[in-house]
Amino acid sequence: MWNTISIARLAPQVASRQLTAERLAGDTLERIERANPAINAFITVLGDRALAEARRLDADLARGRYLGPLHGMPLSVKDLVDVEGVPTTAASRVRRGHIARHDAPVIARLRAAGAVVIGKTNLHEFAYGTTSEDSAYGPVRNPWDVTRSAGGSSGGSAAAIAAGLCAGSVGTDTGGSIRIPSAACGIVGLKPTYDEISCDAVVPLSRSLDHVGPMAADVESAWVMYQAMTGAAAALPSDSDRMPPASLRLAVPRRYFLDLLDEDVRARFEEAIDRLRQAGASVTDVDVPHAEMIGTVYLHIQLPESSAYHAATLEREPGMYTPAVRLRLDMGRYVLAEDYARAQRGREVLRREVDAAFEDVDALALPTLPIPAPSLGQATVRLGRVDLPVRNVMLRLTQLFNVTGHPVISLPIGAGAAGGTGGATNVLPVGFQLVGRRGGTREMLRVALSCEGILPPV
Amino acid sequence: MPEANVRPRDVTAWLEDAIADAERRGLPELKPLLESLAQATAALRAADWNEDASGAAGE
Repeated sequence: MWNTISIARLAPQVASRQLTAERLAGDTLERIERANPAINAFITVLGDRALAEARRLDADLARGRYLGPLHGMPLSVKDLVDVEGVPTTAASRVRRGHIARHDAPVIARLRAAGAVVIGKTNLHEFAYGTTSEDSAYGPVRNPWDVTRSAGGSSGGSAAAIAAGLCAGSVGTDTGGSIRIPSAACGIVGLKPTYDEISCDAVVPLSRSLDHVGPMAADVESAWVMYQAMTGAAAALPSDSDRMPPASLRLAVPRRYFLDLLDEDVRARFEEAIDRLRQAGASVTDVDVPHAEMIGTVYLHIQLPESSAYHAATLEREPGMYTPAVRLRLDMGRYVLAEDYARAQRGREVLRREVDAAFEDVDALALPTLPIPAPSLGQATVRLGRVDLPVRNVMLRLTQLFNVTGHPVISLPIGAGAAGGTGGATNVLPVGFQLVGRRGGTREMLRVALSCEGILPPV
Repeated sequence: MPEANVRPRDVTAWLEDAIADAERRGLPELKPLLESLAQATAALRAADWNEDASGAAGE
């Protein structure tokens, strides 16, 4: 398998000047040149510019100006987020000719913390899909198996991290677009509390569901990126930031969320829960009473919000969209305002129910994806006795927390899931979500730091 | 753009009008998506949190 780049592991080497930012950027660019043709993770690679930034950061360090653990770290950015002087393509022909005039605030914060922007990553067109197949730049391929999807919509970001082509990435998540590819590619992805990290200068999909967050090789690295992205001083977590495993109180929302799972995913998830129990964690069950309404509520909010943003270009140049994305955008134009209002009421109900689930627990635990990464081009998947659309299945366990705004992190739990349910033939990673209280992203990260060493390794 | 005469009175009527409108616009591929959306819309309208202006209990 590939060697990932851990910010937490490399930061001390950069700080002590054992490793220069220029060397780190140069090595990363070489790996991109070798590996990207196979996985198509990058749309734009900022080679000379990244090397120049790295040299400037080395000069800063030589003068005693150390910016923290992101100093010299090569990060990628989903090509939905503005980076000054670079196109923001959104993986669409609709955006041809666009050049960003400024860094998005979240990028400016990461640069101020010492990050080097190494390139812009491929995605599902306008973030409107879960497989990163419908892209004007071709499909992203999963580094674990290039015949499979990397997940989406931040598929290029996840594939790049999994293949060691960057130390972390800035992703976006409207229904699971950070967590789904993180699970599919075996990395860590964090969706913070709603509105915690600025979405300014980020192409929207659905403004009331959109989140920006970090993707990285491990929780410590995601922790560092999260701090910088919120404008806080970035620092590696200390021992006191890890909760003792025996103090962890987790709850699993079994009904609905564990009803439809690939058998390999179920086995990995239950193994993870067993390990947490053996480490002393308390694990109980919890229920979200209106869980069966999640997809319905999500749909009636997301569809019209997305269509509103695209209305003008749908009229002017509908043929510039990939066919599947164009159809979904058009579908949203038929949703009635009264149904959008009903869905917003349902959102309040779901939010209260998830809030209530935290009465006696620190975090909720559930799988990220009900299935391993699907094959490219796969339209349906059989779970139980029914064939279901891949898109619906991939969103099933993630979209609730976009509706409610709760923070969630997806951690990789072992490899061992297969393409077929229960009959492992090749090895693919599985994702494990930890959900925190609204406004409690940092506390949720403390739980994740504790769980990471206990969960089955990838 | 969808025409404004799509009737909101019930999901069946809405679906018939939406499909006719999509076909008029040269998008017959929308039909299965709209049918799926109609099922979701029916579920949404039947949800127990919906209110009734007569004062009948909602959620």
